Amino acid sequence: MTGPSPLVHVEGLQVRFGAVQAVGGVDLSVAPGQVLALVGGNGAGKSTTMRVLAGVVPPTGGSVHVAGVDVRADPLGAKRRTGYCPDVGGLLPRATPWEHLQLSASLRRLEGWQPRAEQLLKRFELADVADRVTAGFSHGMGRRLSVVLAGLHRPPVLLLDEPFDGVDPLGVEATFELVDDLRQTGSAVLVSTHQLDLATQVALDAVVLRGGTVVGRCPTAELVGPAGVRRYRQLLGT
Amino acid sequence: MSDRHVLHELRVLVRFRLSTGGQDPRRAVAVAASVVLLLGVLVPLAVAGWGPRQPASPLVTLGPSLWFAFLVLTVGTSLASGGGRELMPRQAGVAFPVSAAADQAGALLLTPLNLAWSVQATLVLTTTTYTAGPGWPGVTALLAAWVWVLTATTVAQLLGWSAELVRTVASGAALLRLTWVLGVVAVAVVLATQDVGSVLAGLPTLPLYVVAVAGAGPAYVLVQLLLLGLGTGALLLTVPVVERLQRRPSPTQADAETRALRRAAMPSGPLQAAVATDVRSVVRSSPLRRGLLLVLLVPLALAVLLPLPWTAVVVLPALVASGTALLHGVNVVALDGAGAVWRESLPHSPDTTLVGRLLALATLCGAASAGLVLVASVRAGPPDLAEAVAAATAVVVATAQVVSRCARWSVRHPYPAELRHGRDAPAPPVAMAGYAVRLTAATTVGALLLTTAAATGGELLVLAVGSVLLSPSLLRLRRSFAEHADQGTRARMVSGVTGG
Repeated sequence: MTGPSPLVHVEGLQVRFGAVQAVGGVDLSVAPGQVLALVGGNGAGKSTTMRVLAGVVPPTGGSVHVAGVDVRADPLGAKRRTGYCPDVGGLLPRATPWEHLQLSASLRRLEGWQPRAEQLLKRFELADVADRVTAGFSHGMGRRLSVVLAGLHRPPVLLLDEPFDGVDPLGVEATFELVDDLRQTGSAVLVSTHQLDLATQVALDAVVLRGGTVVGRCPTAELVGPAGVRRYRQLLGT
Repeated sequence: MSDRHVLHELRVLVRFRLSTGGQDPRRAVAVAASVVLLLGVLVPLAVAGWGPRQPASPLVTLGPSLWFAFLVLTVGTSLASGGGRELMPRQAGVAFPVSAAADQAGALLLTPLNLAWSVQATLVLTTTTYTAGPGWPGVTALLAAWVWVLTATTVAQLLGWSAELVRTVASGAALLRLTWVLGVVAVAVVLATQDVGSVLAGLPTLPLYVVAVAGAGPAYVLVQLLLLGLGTGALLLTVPVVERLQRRPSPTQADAETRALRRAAMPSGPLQAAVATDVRSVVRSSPLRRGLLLVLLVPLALAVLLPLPWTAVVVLPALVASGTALLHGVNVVALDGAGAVWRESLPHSPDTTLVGRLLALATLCGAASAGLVLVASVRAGPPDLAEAVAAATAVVVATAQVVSRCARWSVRHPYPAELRHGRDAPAPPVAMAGYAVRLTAATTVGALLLTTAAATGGELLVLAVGSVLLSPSLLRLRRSFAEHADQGTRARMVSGVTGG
């Protein structure tokens, strides 16, 4: 018996920046309603993989499909089907959260998006600062807004790159809720993080990256507790 | 802090900056020293050798005005750039112990990379030696001109840093605005009550200039010592000002970044959204607002002060469009800062974003140039048809030349830049100097060709020359759009402006 077609399907992904091989053969797939954690140390290739899936960086080799769209052939189509929270920054410094939402809604041609935007801003405790420029935001506030922007249009594929970095427990909880909402409506969610404890809470499955390649796949339950940490360290070769 | 420490810091910072910019520090220093020697010593002395001047020579009478204009321009530049450019970008330098004295010295060192400063300084040096004539008088005049250039620059820096310090106190920004308004009103009153000739005759630089070109003597020595004392005093006084400034955050900036803004209506389409995003980014950026003010004020003052002939009015768009583009246009993606990654992930045609960015830039350059031409036309008197067509064509050509070059540089050479603080620039100092030279040269040559066409062949020739000048700009734009359409190029741009 075969399950539903994966919404994210990556085979032999390679990304090269000049002489540097950032990703050297990544295979992964995420089914509808599945949350997959992409874990690994710094420089493992997590963010580059996410940028390829978001249509921001072109792959050098391999095949990458997002919601049935070939990212290399149709990056614009991939962008329409994904919601992406970049790893660092990700916000226009002199625009307000509301203006970010307006820009996204305008380019995605969304109708009646305002009530959901208001609700998400409230859930992520950003309603009071919705009309302030983001240059004055703390790192955590910026991260929370990036998650809101990624989830505004209920994308079939949600890509969250380090969404918990510097975020307080309430923000983490709000992110969990958003991920769960979208998962229940059939979205595929890929969460990249170096925080193993949060990865095991948000996802049921994990792919471990090291040096731009996949070094392990397992249920996140196997990465919980001291034994899980030992296994993780073993996979990372530390 | 001892002078040795400051020099050591300065050496380390210069070497770091040059090597991270891919330049060989020794070669860069040798090139800089050669340029200073050539333009600051050899050219002025060669000009002095062209023989004794007639007292009625226009350059002789213009000298004090040039000295005064240099002071005004240097002060204006310093005020607009918050004291001066940074040797080490704020973001990169935040973890390093850079002293206030080294920060100040770095800003002073970078001053010659400002094209307007360099051109004006060269004019001051050559005009002064030309007036004094060949031989020993030319040498002493050159020394005096150098003393004036250095003194005016250090005093301007003190004023620039002090204005930044005033901004950090309650109502400081309002006080500065009031000072600006009072200054403009005072100039307007003087102009309304006196003719330009008597205003220029009363300039405080006149006696200094007379002493400088009169040759060595007790008055010469006394004046130079006084100016050197003033410059040294300004230099020393600036250090504590910078120290205080390093310890105080700007309440104006904090206020701007925490104030709730009114929500605008939803843009009617992707292009409108792109333009609105960029225009808002420009308007809300303190260095861009201040820079725009300076770019407009200096030519505006010229246009109001002097009844410029139409041949000069046609050149104004070149200067204003170039100056406006240097504020952010040479690296348009920098407006997005770290948000460039997110913006690139949005579903939109690459052409829409680039068109939006360039439209915003073209609107700024075109509106500033056209506005200035209109103001200047009041004093220039009614133009003939050829002059009117030349002025209108100059606005279009200068805007196209500037926008097309900015498109190419933005696509090929993205740099990370915050454009958040008064001292921020869209590209590193050396790159900015190169951009300034190329923009100004291209647009000024274009304007001069249009002026010549208007004077010799009439409006049809002007239109023909305008079309010829527009062609390479359109081709450049087409190539830039083709390069920007490539996803790999855009990924490099995003990576370039986000620094990662």
